[in-house]
Amino acid sequence: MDSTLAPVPYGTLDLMVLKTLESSGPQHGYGIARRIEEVAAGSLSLNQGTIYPALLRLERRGWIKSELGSSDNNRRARFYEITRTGRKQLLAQTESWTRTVAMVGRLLGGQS
Amino acid sequence: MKPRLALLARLRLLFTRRGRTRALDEEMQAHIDLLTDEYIRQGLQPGPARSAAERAFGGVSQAKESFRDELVAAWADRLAQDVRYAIRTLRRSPAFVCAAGGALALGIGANAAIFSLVDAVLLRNLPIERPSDLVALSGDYSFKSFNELSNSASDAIGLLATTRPEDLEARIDGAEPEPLKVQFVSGSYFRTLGVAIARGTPWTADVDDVNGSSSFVILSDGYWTRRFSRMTSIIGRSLTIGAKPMIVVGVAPPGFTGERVGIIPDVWVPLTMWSSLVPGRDLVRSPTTAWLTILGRLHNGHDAAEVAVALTHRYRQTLTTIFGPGVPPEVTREIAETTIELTPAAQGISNLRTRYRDPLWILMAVAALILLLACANVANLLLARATARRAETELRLALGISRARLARQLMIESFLVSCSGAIVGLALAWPAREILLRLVTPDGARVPLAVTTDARLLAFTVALCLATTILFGLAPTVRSARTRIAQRLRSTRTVGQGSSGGRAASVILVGQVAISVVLVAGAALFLRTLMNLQTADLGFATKARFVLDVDPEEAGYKGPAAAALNERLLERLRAVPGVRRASFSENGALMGRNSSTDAIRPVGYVRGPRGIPKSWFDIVGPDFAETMGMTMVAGRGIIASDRAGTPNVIVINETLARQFFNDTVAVGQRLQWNDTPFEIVGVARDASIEGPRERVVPQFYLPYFQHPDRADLASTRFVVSADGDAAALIQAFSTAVVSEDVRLRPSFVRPFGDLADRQLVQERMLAKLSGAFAAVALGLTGIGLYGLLAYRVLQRRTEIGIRLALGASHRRILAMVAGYDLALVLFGLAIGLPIAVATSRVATALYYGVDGWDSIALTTTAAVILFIGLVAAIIPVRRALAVEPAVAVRSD
Repeated sequence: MDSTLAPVPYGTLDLMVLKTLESSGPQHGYGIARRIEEVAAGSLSLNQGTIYPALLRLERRGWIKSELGSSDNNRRARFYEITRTGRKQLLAQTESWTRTVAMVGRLLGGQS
Repeated sequence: MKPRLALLARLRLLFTRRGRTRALDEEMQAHIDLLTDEYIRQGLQPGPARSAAERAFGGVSQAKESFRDELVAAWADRLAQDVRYAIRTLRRSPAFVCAAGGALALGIGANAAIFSLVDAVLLRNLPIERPSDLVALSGDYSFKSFNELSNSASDAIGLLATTRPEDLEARIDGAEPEPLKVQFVSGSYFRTLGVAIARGTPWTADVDDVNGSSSFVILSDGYWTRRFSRMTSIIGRSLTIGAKPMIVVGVAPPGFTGERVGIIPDVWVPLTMWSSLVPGRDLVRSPTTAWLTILGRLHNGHDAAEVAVALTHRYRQTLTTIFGPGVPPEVTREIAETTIELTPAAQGISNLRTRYRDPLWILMAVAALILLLACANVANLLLARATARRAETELRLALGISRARLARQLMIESFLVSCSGAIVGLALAWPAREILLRLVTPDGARVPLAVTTDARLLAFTVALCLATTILFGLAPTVRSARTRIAQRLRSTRTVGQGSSGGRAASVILVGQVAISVVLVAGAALFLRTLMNLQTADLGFATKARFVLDVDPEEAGYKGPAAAALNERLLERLRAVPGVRRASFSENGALMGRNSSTDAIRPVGYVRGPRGIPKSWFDIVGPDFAETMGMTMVAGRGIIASDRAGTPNVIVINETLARQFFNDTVAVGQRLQWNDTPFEIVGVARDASIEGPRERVVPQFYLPYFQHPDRADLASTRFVVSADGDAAALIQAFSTAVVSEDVRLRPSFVRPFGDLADRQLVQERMLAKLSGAFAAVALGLTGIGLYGLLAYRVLQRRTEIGIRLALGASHRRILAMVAGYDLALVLFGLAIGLPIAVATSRVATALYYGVDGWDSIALTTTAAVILFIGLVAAIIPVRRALAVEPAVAVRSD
């Protein structure tokens, strides 16, 4: 694995998955992974497999729901969709994330 | 609608966990496939594209693992939460935990104790290599036969020979002699069993050499621990058995206690050492004495039946050589008819097993019923508790807890209660088991049974725990989970008929009463059996009578000298103060020795194709019948004047008289034994010589002093009728015998009644245990009844108050409470009595003089149950009558 790529910051994968599902509608696991990589545009080292535990975690909390369907090329696939609670959570977490980033930015900026 | 869907989804997630993991496999595979396609589109070759895709995906198994972790973590989290919640709730009600846990401890303790016996006696395999290959050969064998047999079929079966452990004495380091249980075994013993010596070295086959001197012992682990505190320097030390110094060469592994269940040897010694250690005949060198038990291990899948045929063939050849040519035709026929059968011996050999199989299974069933009763009590406690906690349940449901989660929490609570019961129960099982082991022996000695608290017992207890949890936890749980939130709003306290919980409790109680009926009736039948056997008319008397056994041959008396000795001993015994009469016989009574013949018949008897019917006989001293307290139906008994030189006389019993003479007068007729004629001088009333349960056989008695050729008895069994202190008399009898000749060793000196008692060990154990269990059952049911009645009175206090205020008489209130109680008990009786009658059939073989329809047993049972019902109602009825209308109505 390319060592210059940043690893996924701890705890942010759930947020990224939620955001992806919010902005691009129902997706299967592959689609979500591709979308995150696209957005990251090569600046992120994502083990695509790790999104599955994350999906289950989110589903258990009731933030997303899943359903079996068929993909574009007629494969059986599980499609994930964000729920209303999920949207609320995303909103709350985005806010908290922005605040944290701003705070850390200020902190680091002040030091340098 | 919404919450229900969510619940379903969550339940689906919970129950389809396995399905989800499988679906995940597919999902991830699809992901990698899609990624591979993508890379191929970007211009990579399929091979590298796939590896690239796999790299990008990361570890499949890693992903799967953390997926699974997510599932398990969620589940475990909630479980831990529920357990903490259950512990918190239980700690708030210690009285409930004590009552429920106590009842369960009783039930689980009884089950664990009896299971450990059932396991040790009936179920457990010997702790040896591949026990299923071990077989026992039918019959007993001489050492020579054993050697011949083991040489003949060695590729199909490996044989080993053992003796019953002997009680000998050992001196260790010059200390006083101490008792030592010694088992003599062939050199192949440990090797064939597949038991590896834990310390030291196993002995080799040359210990079977009759001319060698193999003064080696191997200690059992128990003896090594008990006597030598597991001292490691024991190997090579010497202990003196009898007069022979023996060298300790090894210690057997822990847990191995020999191949016999119920007899645990201290040490094992090579068979060839028998004559050096045990005084008496040199059995090892006697080719005709069959005294060894042979076990075998079938080699690699050889068929037992085929091996048995081969062994039988070889054994007949061996016997023919041993007995040599010129034997009487009977012996030849006997040899030709000898067969060896192989029976599985994975669980070792045991006479405990045949004797106690039925009683143990019955006790196991009884213990299970006790546990069922305990569960019923706990279920009722829980039902009452569920009602009391309705407010809490409703609140939690209203706050959104799922019913499944609620049910799970209640089941966890139940499981914790039964676990606490199991822990206390296991602690109780330990002493209970020791009591059981003493109950099955006549003198209260402990049966040396290797009962251990091991994984099997623990597994059994855990299984019990789970089973009880489901048994008593399910009804209350379902009831709680069904609670409707609105109910609380509608009514605060019901006035009038009891709720559905009351109905469930009533049903449980009727069941409890019914089970108690079955247990009490069973105990009554066993008690009646014991009483019947104790008072059974044996046909002779055991009261104020004593027995002692003397072997003249052991002290060197043979032939005429033995006869003279017996006569002198008789005189000495008669001279003991307090003695009224004394006599002797060869077999005695209740001592399990008998002789039979099929050669005695009336003079001129015409032999049919079936030959002469078999008769049993005993050779008796003068006044035998009078001393034994037997009555003569006709004629006289054997008397002192029946001596050599007078006409041959014989006394027969009624059954023998019927066998040959039907209704004609037997006295005065003549019998013929081989060619010798006898005149019948008396007919004795039938006596149960072998014990009350044995059938009366045709029996005849010959006067000892009339047959000098039969002077050497197997042993002389004296019977003395005497009044006085038993201990002093026993002492005096022994002294009398020894003062005749110090070499004589009177054995088995004891009151005759003790022999009768010894026969009733099993009956006494069953009566005691089933009685104890019945008492426990009555206690549990009584408490259950009391609890339910008290609860109902409490619940209906307002109603009772209103009724009293409206002018109901006290009698009416009494009828209300007591009537309910009586209805429960009568229902229980109506259900229980037929079941009791039906189930009593399984123990028919154990009864004596009673059957399931025994009216005394059934009436007693009904009376006892009604009595318990009455006692249980006293306090609740008094409470109901004490209700103050004003207070009761206002308190609501």
